[in-house]
Amino acid sequence: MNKPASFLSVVSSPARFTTVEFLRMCDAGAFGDMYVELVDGELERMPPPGNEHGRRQMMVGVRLSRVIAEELLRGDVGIDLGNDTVLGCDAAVLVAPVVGNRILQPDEVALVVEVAETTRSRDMDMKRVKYSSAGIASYWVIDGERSVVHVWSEPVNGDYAQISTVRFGEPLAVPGTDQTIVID
Amino acid sequence: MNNPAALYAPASLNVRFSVAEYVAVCEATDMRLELVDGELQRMSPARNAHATRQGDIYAMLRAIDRSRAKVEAGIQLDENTVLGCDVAWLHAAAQQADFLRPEQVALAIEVSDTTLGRDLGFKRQRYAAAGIAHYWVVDAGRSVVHVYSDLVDGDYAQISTVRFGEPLAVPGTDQTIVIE
Repeated sequence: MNKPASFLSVVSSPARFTTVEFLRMCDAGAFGDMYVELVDGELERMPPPGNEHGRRQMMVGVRLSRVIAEELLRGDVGIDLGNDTVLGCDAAVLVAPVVGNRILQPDEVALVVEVAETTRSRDMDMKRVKYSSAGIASYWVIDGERSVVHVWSEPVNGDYAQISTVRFGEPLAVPGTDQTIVID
Repeated sequence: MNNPAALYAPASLNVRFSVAEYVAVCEATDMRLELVDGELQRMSPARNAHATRQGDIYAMLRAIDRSRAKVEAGIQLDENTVLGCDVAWLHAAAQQADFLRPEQVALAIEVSDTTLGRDLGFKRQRYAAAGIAHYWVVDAGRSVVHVYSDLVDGDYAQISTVRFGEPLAVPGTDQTIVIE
């Protein structure tokens, strides 16, 4: 529902950080070890990932490496999604090799993977919208709580048209290959 | 301007920035930042007219008592909130510390250009809640100063409008200043 225009706002309504400003702050080491993303011009800080998250993230990388060339795999990489939004994803498969230490553009990314332990709603809602709006072809959320992988593909007009759920232990098709992997 | 309906729930998992982390971020960047309930926010870059007016007000207050006038002062309202105040007038001379505490501030002054709504709304509410007895918002668009005072139940009970060019009483003194 649209909010009416409000002259006197008791909500802060701060000025937006732009992507350039955010990246400059990152480069200047402003955030140190803090895990910070930029969403619609606002800074969002996430807690450091825990053991289960780390275990699953590594597992995804290891299993993808059996079917995807190493040079196309990335872990913990930032993606510039436009509209003053920069997100860090847990793992990604590139369309083609990328050289240089910079954040990625969405058209360089074929698949984004997020491991959702404590961040499930954020991964399944906000991030899904952001990744699909930027045209990233495939998106997986590894849902530890429900032991399923949510699989989205075919971005159309700000959301994914194709949605399916693959239980842990069942074969999961890897986009861009005729292979499957298993998450468990 | 209407905000489009949000497609997703607002961020609720976010970890707060502490004041110490806020300070560290500020030191690494030249952006003007505030901390609001643990969220790092940027302040709009000050425009020329704003800076001039802010400087003039600071100069007038310094002329009354140098040690009680502060410009570009960060005021730490609580554990998770530091707001940037354009000019602050203190009850008494203050020792140099990272940020001012609201108890030290007799009068907070904001010079508004693009931030009028936020200064009259959000900031008024937060300064009042922190117990800052007097608050002025310099509204250049209308050539008036909105004068808030008389704290009752966490908000200002007395609101008056003083046109540019008319005397404004400086709290805790028998002096007035005039904003043009």
